Amino acid sequence: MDDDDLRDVASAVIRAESLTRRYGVLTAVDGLDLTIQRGEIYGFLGPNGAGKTSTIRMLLGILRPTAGTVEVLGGSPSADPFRVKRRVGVVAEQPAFYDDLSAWESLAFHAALYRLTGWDARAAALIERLGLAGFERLRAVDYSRGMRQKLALARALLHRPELLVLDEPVSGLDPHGIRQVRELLLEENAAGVSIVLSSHILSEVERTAHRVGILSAGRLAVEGPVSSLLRPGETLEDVFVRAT
Amino acid sequence: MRDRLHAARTIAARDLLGLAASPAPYVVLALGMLATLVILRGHLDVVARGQILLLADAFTLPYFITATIAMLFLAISSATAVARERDQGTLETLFHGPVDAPSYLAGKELAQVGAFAAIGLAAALLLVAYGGLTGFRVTGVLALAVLLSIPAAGAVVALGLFLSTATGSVRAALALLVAVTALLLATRVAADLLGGIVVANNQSPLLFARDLFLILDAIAARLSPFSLFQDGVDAASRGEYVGYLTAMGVAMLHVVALMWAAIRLLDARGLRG
Repeated sequence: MDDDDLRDVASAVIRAESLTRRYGVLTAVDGLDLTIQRGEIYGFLGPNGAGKTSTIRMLLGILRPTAGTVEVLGGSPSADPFRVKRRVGVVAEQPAFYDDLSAWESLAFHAALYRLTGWDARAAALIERLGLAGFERLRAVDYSRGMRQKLALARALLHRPELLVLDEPVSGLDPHGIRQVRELLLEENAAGVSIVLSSHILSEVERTAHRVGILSAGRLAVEGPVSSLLRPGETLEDVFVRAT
Repeated sequence: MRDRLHAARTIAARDLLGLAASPAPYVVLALGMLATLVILRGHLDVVARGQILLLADAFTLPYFITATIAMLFLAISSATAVARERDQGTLETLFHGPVDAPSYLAGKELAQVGAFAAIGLAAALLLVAYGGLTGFRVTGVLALAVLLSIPAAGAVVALGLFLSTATGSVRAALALLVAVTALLLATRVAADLLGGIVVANNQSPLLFARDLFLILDAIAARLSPFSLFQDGVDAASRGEYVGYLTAMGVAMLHVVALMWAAIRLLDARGLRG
């Protein structure tokens, strides 16, 4: 291991080695090696069925790998879930909320789970910032898809995580919503939050990600800084199509 | 351990609030009290007609019925608890945060047992009030029945959670609960029917079937929290405290064993249906 490797290990927020997940005869993730550095926005891309969601679920410790190891923020999310998950914020592909709780109560429950004190000022600020002010007393399940996405992002940010894992965070959002979310994510990143962003809206990934990895058939087909992957006149969509 | 306890407490508090805001616990209590009024009315009629009424305790049976109704409600509620969260996606969302299988299931168990304890306590207070109104004596057996009902309810909830973790949807969870209940009932009915048949021929296959169902019934009686509760209350009524304590101990063992199995099952099956 040379000095660069040692620096990588020290500053990595996610390290996966030979990560594999099989469902019967189907191999969804095939010996994936992945390192995501502290402070970066990593675009995690791939066509449907490429293994993105399985990888994300293994990184979050909620899906057991068939083989390989995962380290998130220096710990194992499955062996030490309390220490690791407390520092991670997640927006799932389809955010879920309790059907008997209002949006505000959903945030209050999240705050209680994470033992947050003085959370309401932060919650109010996030609600305001994401354009949900005035709707916080409505039941979260009555929200539109886009509003649920925003509420899920507010919930993921409420405990000031060091790492954000976002699976399709802007799907269902109108252009105003996409801009609100993009600006908020860039601000959080500037404040030191590392972000893993999985999305099919490649223009957004191109605008926000420092590096991208494109998964194809459970393996990383392409990985690198966005600028270095693009040939003159190309967009990320062209790279994606070429790689997959 | 501190983190796990905190997560369990938080999940339990949320579920308890949800249960308190739903009509189900109040309906359960009302049904129990309705049954109590029918029983007490029968006793009072006997007294009013000047007939002899021999009762060791007027309130243990009403409490037993109320607690059994509450346990049936808990069985359905807990059997669908995990499956419903799987369906809604809230199970996986919870596990994105500082929650693991033991803390999640402990939270569910605590909430349901807490709801039962509230129903049981309210029922006991009402029964004591009825004692004051009717003049029927309230004995210590009622307190023992209340005490035993809590671990028995815990065993019912643990069984429900175990069944719930084994299934991927609310419908499947309910179907499994009905199947298990039907199996226990069928065993009891078959044992009762076969037990009453006189078999003259020692080679008859009926003998084998009778012995088999009697054994199965005896095992089912040990496994069923409802039977444990009944055995314990009967033992307390007869003053057989060893039998009472045994029923309590076995109910607690059920809780531990079923929760352990539910945790293992949830870990093995994963968070999606």
